[in-house]
Amino acid sequence: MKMDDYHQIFENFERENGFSTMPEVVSDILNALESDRTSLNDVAEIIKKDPGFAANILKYANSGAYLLAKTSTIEQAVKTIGLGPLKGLCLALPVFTRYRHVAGIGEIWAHSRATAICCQIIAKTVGFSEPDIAETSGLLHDIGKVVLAVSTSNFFQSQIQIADSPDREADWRQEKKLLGFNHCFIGAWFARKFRLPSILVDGILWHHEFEKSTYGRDMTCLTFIGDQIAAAIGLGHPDFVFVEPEFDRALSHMKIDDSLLRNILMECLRRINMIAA
Amino acid sequence: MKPVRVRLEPLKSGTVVVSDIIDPSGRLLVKAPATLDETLKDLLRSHGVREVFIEDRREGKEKSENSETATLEVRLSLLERGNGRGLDLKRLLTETIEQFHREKT
Repeated sequence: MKMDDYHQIFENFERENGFSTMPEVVSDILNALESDRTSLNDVAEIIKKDPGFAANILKYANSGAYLLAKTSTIEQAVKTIGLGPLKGLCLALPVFTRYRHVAGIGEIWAHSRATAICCQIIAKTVGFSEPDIAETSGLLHDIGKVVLAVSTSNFFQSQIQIADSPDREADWRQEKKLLGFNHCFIGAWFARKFRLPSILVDGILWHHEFEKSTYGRDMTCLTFIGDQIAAAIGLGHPDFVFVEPEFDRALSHMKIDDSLLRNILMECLRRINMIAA
Repeated sequence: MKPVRVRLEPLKSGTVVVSDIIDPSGRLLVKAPATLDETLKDLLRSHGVREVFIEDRREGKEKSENSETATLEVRLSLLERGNGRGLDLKRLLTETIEQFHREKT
């Protein structure tokens, strides 16, 4: 497959109501979040205009992803999630909801949510200064796989069938080899399209090759570790179930020793188990 | 189980093809069910066959905690291939995850 085919894939995806046709409420929230003067209450008021979207935000806030008491109002939900992760959620929710019936999308969503939680926990444990950014990166890191699942379904379904074959190459390498680009590249395109900060674009683009990150190597490395812990726990990718050998190198980069890793993993298991419950 | 169309190339020997295999000009090459081996794959390649139907392996796979624990060994198996402390890392992850499930029950 050549780069022309890559453009064709995006065109196919957009034609099927891809990223360009976000619900009005999402556009309004994204516009509001561009301003520094937007408050939590302003965002809550916008969300309330779309009851379906508001219900999804409430559901997410109460899903176990956050260690707070049950939230019953949109204002509480927005406060619980925070404005940073809320932007990522606004981008992810409509896309995952629209394609929830496509094979593999449910697993990608479960993996993305689990990775977001893992990234948040790792960030707080290692003292990373922007845990909200890490959480958002975890939530969006595999958004490019949605495009693959929808627009290259034959390819993606083939990958799912060999997900646990130890002789195959990693998903992102195989995509690059067979398609000419991978889900990281597509995800970064998505992140740029919605003007996400460079550090998040890097987190999505380089989450399998954190050494190549320019704008936030630690955050990108942290995203990869979150991704790998989610896979270890059993909430991995539908098209590649393995924890990659590079996991060890990433842990060393973030100076996460055995004791710290054990604590992080236990906390990730507890929190993710709350979601599953 | 429902059949699913997949690429021929990555399929391992022993995979059962569940639908008749037709070449691009519509000629029947192999009746289903057929078990793939390298000879058959070569034959299919030479006739321009790129995709075949197999049973969807995802069907019936339960996402229960038990099945997740059972596949833990598989999920962590590539760690052994890395340089450095891959085996130790695998052991640590396995012990911690199993400990969590033990405490939970």
